[in-house]
Amino acid sequence: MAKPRVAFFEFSDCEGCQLCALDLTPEQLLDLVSVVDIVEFREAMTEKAGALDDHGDGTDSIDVAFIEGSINRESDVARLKRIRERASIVVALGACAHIGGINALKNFQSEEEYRKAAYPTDPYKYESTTAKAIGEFIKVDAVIPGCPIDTGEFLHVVKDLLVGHKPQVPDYPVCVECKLKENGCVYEKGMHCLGPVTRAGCGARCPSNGGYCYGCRGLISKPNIASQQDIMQKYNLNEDEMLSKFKMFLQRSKEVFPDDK
Amino acid sequence: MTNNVKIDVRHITRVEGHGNILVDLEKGELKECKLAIVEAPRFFEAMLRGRHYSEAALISCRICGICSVGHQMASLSASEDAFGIKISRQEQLLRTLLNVGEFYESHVLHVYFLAVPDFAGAKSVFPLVKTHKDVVVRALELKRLGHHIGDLIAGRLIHSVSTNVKAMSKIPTDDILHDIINQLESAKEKLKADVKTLNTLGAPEFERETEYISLYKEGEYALLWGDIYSSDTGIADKHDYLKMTNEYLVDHSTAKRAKHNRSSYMVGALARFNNSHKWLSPDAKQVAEDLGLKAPCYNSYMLTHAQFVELVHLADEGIAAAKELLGMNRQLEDRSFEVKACQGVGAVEVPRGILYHDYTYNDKGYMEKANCIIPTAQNLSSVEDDFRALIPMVKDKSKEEIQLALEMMVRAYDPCISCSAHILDVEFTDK
Amino acid sequence: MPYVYHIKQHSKNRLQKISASENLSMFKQRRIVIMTAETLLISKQRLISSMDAAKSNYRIAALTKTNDDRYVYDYIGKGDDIEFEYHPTVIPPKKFLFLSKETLFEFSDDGKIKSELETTPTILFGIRPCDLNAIKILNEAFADHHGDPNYLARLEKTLVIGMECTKVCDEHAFCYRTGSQNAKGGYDIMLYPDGDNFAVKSVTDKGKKFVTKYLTKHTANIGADDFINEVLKKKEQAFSKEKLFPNLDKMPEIFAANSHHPIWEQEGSKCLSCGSCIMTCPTCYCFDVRDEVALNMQHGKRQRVWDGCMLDTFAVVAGGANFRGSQTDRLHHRINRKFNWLVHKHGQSVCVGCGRCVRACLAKISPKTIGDAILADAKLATATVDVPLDAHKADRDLYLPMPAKIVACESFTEQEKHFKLELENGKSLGHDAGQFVQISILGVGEAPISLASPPDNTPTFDICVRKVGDVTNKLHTMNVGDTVHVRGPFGHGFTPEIMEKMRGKHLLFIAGGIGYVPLRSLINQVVANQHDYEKITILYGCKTPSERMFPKELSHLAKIGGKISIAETVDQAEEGWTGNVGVITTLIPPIDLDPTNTIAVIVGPPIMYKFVLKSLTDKHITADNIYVSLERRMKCGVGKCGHCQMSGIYVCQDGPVFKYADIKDNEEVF
Repeated sequence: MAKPRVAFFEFSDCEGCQLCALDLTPEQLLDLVSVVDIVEFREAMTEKAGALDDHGDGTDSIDVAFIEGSINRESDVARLKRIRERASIVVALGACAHIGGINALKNFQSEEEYRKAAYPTDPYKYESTTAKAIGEFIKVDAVIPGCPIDTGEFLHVVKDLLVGHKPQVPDYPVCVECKLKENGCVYEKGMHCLGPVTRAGCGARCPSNGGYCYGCRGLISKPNIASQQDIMQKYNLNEDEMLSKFKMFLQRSKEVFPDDK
Repeated sequence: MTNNVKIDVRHITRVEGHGNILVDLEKGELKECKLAIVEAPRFFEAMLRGRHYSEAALISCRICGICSVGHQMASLSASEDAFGIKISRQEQLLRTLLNVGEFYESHVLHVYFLAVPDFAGAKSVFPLVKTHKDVVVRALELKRLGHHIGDLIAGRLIHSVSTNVKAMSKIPTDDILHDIINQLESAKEKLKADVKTLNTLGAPEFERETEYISLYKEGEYALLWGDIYSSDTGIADKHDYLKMTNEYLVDHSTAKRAKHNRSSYMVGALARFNNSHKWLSPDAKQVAEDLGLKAPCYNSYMLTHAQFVELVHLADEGIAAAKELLGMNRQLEDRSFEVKACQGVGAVEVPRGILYHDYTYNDKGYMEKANCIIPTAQNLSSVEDDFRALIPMVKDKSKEEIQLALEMMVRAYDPCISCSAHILDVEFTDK
Repeated sequence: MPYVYHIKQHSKNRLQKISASENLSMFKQRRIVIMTAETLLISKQRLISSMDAAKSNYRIAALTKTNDDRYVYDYIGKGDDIEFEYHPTVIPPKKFLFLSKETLFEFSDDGKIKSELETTPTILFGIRPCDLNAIKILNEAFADHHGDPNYLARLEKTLVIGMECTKVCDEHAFCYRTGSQNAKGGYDIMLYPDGDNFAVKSVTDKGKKFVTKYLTKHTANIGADDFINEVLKKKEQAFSKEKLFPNLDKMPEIFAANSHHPIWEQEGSKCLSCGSCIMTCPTCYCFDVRDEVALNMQHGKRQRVWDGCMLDTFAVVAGGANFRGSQTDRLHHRINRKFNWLVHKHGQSVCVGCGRCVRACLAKISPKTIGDAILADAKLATATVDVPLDAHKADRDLYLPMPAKIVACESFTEQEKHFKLELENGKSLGHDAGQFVQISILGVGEAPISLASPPDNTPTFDICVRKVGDVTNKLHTMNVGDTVHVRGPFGHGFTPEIMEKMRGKHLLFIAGGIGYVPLRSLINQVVANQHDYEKITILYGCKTPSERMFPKELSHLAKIGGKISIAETVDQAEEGWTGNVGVITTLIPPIDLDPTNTIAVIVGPPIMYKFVLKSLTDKHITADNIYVSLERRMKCGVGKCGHCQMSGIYVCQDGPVFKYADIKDNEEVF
């Protein structure tokens, strides 16, 4: 059986997820290249799959496209759609592609405000629009959530695709994994945590290392936002402070910000 | 040989982020020479505005995956400078270890995965799995070590978890510290094994003397604290960083650039090596000698070699930090302090050079204004000056060879375009 | 009185005796003094050094403090690491017996399967009564009906050393409310602490052997009984202010009568579905089963991981339906497992009041609050589910599937494909009509599939598979000559008793869509023996004509005539369809039947049952004469994983075939 042709693409992001995907042991890398053909991966290789298009990407068809980054300007949409046409399966790699990521934090400010904050002398020089997830423009077949992704979960999804599984990421909250780690509750330590409504799969990494969950993996499919807000208020957050916690990563979540662009 | 060469590289590969090279040689004369950044702007200064000091490092580290720890260090340092916080020795050592992790991930990625394929005539590391398997295996282990140290010290390396203003929220056990010491010892052995490989591959000949700027602290190979030092003008206080960077606009490109004493200056491993080499560890000095790297070195392609020397030095520094921590009564520190309206600057060395964060907070501890100046932005003019020096040397070669020489030059600088995109002007190039 | 409450696992007979006795309510503490127990005294220092000595032959898990000041049960490096003062832990010690993740078997790409069971001798040291009661309950649950090989092997290698509590540990614990402050079992040795001295009493042979080998040389046994008396007296005093739940002895009946109590919605609406309660519960034992392949695709393993009924997707079937879609439904389910459905089986409250779920719940939902609210109401239900414990020894092969080859296959529609499988061991499956098998594709997973062929003595059997999940999608790509793996047959099908009851009757089969498949085994069986029955009527409804299963067989059945009649209908006609159009219930009124001599069997999508059952009631067919076959999510097929449970009964074990009369009052069924 021919090895699946796999490619990596990135839009607006920090490329940390690609680095995590490459954070492999020697055995893992050798195994990986024995089961897939990496045909395009700009950050790590010069080759492209087929002749170049005017976005600088290849043009050959590919089996799996891992797409990293959010869409921050209109001119990227065409490139994203071209990649979708080339790929049988599109996987959103990381929070930026999955839920807009940290980039969407700017969406809470007016365009003029955010443009002036970064480029005070010539705010309108560069193209920029509302930061959005790739799933708002194209069909996404699977997601690997997280900022950044977890290497183990990335390999899981690769294996799922290889055996013909629909890639599954957990649809239960971080609390499940946090309890398995036997952590005391973050709230009892005087911090606030979005673990009860955030999708697990990270192994509760932040609460297990002295931190708290800020929702980088996105919401579970049926979050109880009302109850989560009750709890945050019970633990002394006012309305603004509470919303501010959700803003870090969940701007694109209609359950929390129904009226936002 | 044609006299007219037009080079248009869309999305230079094997660098972090999206950048293009545009060179136009007409009748052997250089008409145009640009390194254009086409990464979408991300507005981090805007994102930081209105956020609490406890989130500043969490947000700003996401400017860049590969410099994540560096941005955290600069961010924490800026906040601590602002609030007048002096961190403990324990905290210094923990940050040193975490920083060692980042330099391992970043330098190893650059040296072995992005640059070495050039020297070896390959287009990526993947074919080297067959031809140089032992080197690739060592490289993966060394890179993994960076992540491993990050995992152990701060929950993870990329966008680490346990870092906070004033103190970490996680304390390593004896077992963890012993593990790190052992792994760094073995990393040194692996690196020594590859000195020969690097020597065999060599580096293209090139020389252009310029101004080198880095962090500086007497008696230390300064990375996380110190003053600013220019090889042309000497020491400056970190709060005067704007005088060192002097952002300006140029005619041929709309990109914002930095200059100090000349048309451009260089930051990064070679600048650090040239300015601080005498405080490298003895083993690192030996490796530099074995690699034929002597200060001052004016060959930008040797930046890769300087990074390699730094890996050896950082192993020693990490081992020393871990040993000192082992001898301490380590404990979680109180993270409270008095919040006030204030402003502060953080200046740290990240793998690609000196990085500045400058924050202004209101009296509730929420950010009013942020400014970040990224090493790659500071280096862009230097890359172009190197292009101009390089092209006369290679202009009679084929277009492909010229293009490769230019791309290799860009890669040698190990540019981090994701970082630079939010601060640089963006140029859209037409074919 | 220095009693140690040691209650053996109930045998079937014993249980029947207990429930037959009106005077002996199940919560009455049956005090059985262990006459043969070794009792002795030992100092803390000696106890610690004895544990150090035991370390050469055992790994020891005990309460211990981590570097970052958390209290956990963990394997200890030395006796001094043991924390003797109790501090509540997040995760109970059940994790050493029922691992949060464990491998059921490993497989390789050539289809070979191998499994390894636990062999390391282990001591669980200093386990408190709440957790001992929980261990007793898990021991019973994993031995019930099918002996779980992994759990029971580990149990056999484990020595449990309990430790009495002499005070209530914190404000969240409520062991005294569920009557769990005294261990009713689950241990080999009990320690009675008083300051730095302990009395030791061993209650099993395993415990006695251990005491003889490691403890006796340091100890005196004079006065040990008095010492125990004193400790228990202190305990009694410390717990004297605390009370049992009201009406504790009638707990199942009261909970059964209060399914619509407002407390459910009040507490349920707060639930975040975060799973903290089920992860921290010492008596939750539901699990999920997943295949994990190696990155090189050459081998893999089937693993089970903790799962739980409070998570949103727990009861979602392959087709997407969620049988407990609201937090309130899920809370009701979980609490009823603890306070109602499983209580008779274990002879005690299955909530042991350890307080872990209360500590972990941010919304502060507590079984104590719910118990108080409901048990104060003395309204009693007449019937509760009462499934006796039926303890079995470990079944080594319980989770190990057998290879079977595809010997024939045929696609009926885009969605449904029929396979004839042959067991490679040449044996007959030996199933009843209506039973199911678990079909495995190694690396992809396992799915429950109804058997479609009638019982026979050949090694072949039929299944018909709709493409709805990973396993069934993969099956659809397979062809003659390919190998799959099979476990089973499982479940309660049309047993010889039911077949006997059907003899001489008018049989009315009502099938909707793919529901024809599980019925086919029965239909073919009765058609082959049609002289045994008065009449056979088959009603079959599909969405469209092209979705009909086994179309050739259907037309063949239609041609037989005589006592066999078949009527079909479709929701939407297609070109060439000349038959009925309309829902299946339109076929029922015209049937000529004598309700006293008719047995109806219904299999179809969930939505169909309600309407068909109503039509049958209109025809005066009683619930005793109606059989249904139900679909639920299943992972194990053997009554362990909890996914298919509905109000105390397991569809995989007590079903999928049910007499309607047995389940019509079960609120989680339809």
